[in-house]
This record gives sequence, C-alpha cells and structure tokens, in this order.
Amino acid sequence: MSLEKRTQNSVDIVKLPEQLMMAGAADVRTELKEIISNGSGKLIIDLADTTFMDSSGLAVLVSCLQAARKKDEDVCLVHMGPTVSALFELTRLHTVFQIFDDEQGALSALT
Amino acid sequence: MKAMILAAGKGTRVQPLTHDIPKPMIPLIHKPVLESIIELLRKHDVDQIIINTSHLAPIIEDYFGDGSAWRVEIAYSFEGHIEAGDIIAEALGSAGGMKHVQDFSGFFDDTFLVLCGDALIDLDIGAAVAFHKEKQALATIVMKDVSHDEVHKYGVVQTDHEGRIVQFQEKPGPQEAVSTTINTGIYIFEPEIFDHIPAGENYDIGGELFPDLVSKSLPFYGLTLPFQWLDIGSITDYWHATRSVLTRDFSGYRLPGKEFGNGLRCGINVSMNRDRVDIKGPVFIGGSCEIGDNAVIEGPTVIGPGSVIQPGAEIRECLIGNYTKIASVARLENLIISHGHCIKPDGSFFNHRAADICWLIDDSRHQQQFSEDNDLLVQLAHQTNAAPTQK
Repeated sequence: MSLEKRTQNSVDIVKLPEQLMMAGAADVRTELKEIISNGSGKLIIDLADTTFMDSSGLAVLVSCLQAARKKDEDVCLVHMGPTVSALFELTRLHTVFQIFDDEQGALSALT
Repeated sequence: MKAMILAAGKGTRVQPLTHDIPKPMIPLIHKPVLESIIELLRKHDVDQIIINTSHLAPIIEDYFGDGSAWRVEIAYSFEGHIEAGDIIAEALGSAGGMKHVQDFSGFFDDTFLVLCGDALIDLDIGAAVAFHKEKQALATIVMKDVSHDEVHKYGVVQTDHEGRIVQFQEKPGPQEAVSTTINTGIYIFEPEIFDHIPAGENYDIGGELFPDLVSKSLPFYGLTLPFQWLDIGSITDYWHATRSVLTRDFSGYRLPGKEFGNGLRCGINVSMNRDRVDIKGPVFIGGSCEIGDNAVIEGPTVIGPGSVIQPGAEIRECLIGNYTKIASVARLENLIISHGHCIKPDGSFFNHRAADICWLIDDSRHQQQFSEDNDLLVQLAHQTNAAPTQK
C-alpha cells in the first residue's frame, strides 16, 4: 500500500485509507514509521477518509506517536470523523494526541 | 385499598433505554422502578392494583403476572390492539385510562391511589390518605418543592393556607410559574372523580382534569410531605437516580448482592481476583461477571450481570448494562452502556454496531473475538508518556 503523502514547511502530511484495521495495518505502520524516520519527525495524519479503525489501527497511530516523540517531535491528527472521534474518546486517546479540525491548526502547532 | 399505576407511556425522553422495555421497567440496579412502587404499595396496605399498559405491554405483564409474588393482586388494563402480530398502542391519557377501568367494571369503589410508574418514592401513603380523608377531598395531589429552573418539567401547584389548590399549571415556563411546588404524579381520589372525566376520549390528569377541578372550585387539595422522590423522566434523571441509589443518597433502597468492603458489592458467581483489580466504591458488580486483572473500576459504577471486563480496562463512573463486554483498551468515563448504545448523561447516544466499535464494546454473548492487537495497544498506550496510566 502506498499512502498519499506531501510535505509542507518540513511537516509530512499523510492521508490514511478508509479503513485501518488488522489486515493492512502492518503495511501502514511500516510506511508511516519510514516517513517519520526519513523526515523531520513532524507528522500530520489526515483522517478525512477514515471511517473505521480497530485496535490494530489505533496501535499504528500510537506507535507513530512514540516514534515521533523519540525524535522530540509530534504527530497531529486532523479531519477526524464522528466514528473515529467516539473511538478516541472511549479509549481516552484523545488526551494523548493533538487533534485539530483542519490542517492549518496542526501546521501551526508543529511549526 | 386499591391503586392504579400509570404505565402506558412510550418513554420517548428515555430513549434508547426504552427501545425494548417500557419506562416503568427501567431498572435501578436490576430492580425495575415499578417493582419498587409495588413493594411500597404493599407495605402501605394496598392489595389490589390495576396497571394500565400499552407500549411493550407484555414486558410488564410477564414480569409481574398476577402479583402474587409481591403479595398483591394485579390486573392489567391494556390500551391498544394487536395487528398482524404487532401491538398497536392506543394510550387513552392518564385520566382516560382510569375512566376506562371504571367504565369496564366499576373497580374503584372507595378512596383510591393513582401513581405514575416511573418514579422511585418512599412516601408514607397512610399519612397522605389520612390528610385526604380529613379534608374530605375529592382529589389530593402529593407535592414536592423543586428549584425554580426545574418547574418547566412538571405541573405547578399553588395552594391556599388550608392546602386547597387554587391554581394548577401544567409545565409552565419559569416566568409564568406561580410557585415552585410541583405535582409528583401521586394522587388520591374518591370514586366521584369519574363524574369529571369524559368517557371514551383521551383525557389527561395534569393537563385537563386538574385545571377543571380548580375551575369548578371542587375540594381539591395538595399535600407536601417529607419523602424521597426520584423521578425518571429523562436519561439525565436515570443517571442521577441510579447514582443516588448506589451512593445511598436515596436512603433505604435495598441493594442486591453482598458487601465486600471499600464500597464494593457483588452478586454471586463473579470471576475476579479482588487483589488484582483496582476498585474504588461505590461499585456494584452483578452476578456471573468476569473482571480481568488490572482493571480499574471507580464508582459510582454499576456493572450488569454477565458482563466481561477485559484485563486492564478502566471504567470510571459508568452504568454498564447486562452482558456487556469491554475491551482492555477501553477507558470509559461518565457513560451509560446499555441496549447496544453508548449514552452520555445528557442523553446523547450512539449505537456500538452502527459506529463499528464492537471490537471495543459489545454484547458479551457475541461470538466475535476482540481484536488480538488489544494487548499491543494497551502496552503502547502505557508506554506513551501522556497516555492514561495503568495500575
């Protein structure tokens, strides 16, 4: 799988697929970790298309966060839909990640 | 003494709890509110009870049967009909429902009680009836004082110095309300009340009968007694009522199960190593629950029978319904999990299945296995600095 990716002000911006679950999560994890390790470590994950995520999907996001924080950088999430948002609340991961309505807010936070 | 319990309402404001049970059957820690009312009536020598049913009638009728298990006689006045196997509810209104019973058999032949089936009370019914008789009233309302911002939910009553009702307003705005004394939905009537209820039409006690009694200057009284009253008119009410019962703010309510110290009560057949679970009471865990190691449960919390709380899950101030499975990674706070829904205390809710989160919260009887990455996620979340910490 190849994720849609661009870079702005040395922040990598990646769009996740519609579903992030056990099948496929490992590939996404590898790809995101490569982006973090090869880039600045500043990452915006765009969830505009993502409507379903299971624990594997959440684990991908948490491991990215850890990888970024190892480089003293951070991961921001944007365009989170209501389903994923409910999931973050029920796992209290919304207290762990910086979550923004739009890219602009996330870019300001990271740069 | 005879009584009628009004139980034919649809419970629209308590959705989704009333999706498959009628409002009077909403349980306060496993006991339907209606059952508590019947127990109170029995305690005060009420031995014959009519319950009017409509929406989901069989749930009430199958549970209480003829009432013998509660040492009372119960009969039902069904308001509706069955069409192609489905119950079509035709509620007659509270007063209309009473009239229907009276026209059917002349059941009410002496002073009788009428109560709404959706409030937990500990009223001294004998004292209320004594007041009613002393005043030679045709109708008496048991009243309660509430705060000014709550009056819009209720019928507001104004009485003179002898307790005679001089004004009755059904759900007025806070500006129009003539007092903060409200109708609790507990009434005492003489059979002559039926002279003032039209036959064969939908007629309401609060909206029509009471204003009519006032306008005719009939002997219509209000009585304020010290008693506990938990009205369950909305999800928020249900949330507060259950917590009040659990914290013992509503005193005298007999909780099921056995006390194990630190505010923990459990039913039987619970699989849990109490030394490995972090519990801060008051917490009630129903029978046949499985609580995994390192789970955190902070009260006031209720976990319904047959539920499975996976290792490491954290539950704070939640009301979890029967047969609920909660995954390890869940960190639930201030939620009602019931009837396939996550419900917030303000009444907003969503369905687990529709939201695709059955790997996180599900019916514990479903075969579907929770995602295997749960453990990994829990581990990762705990390694992350800002993540919630596990015991």
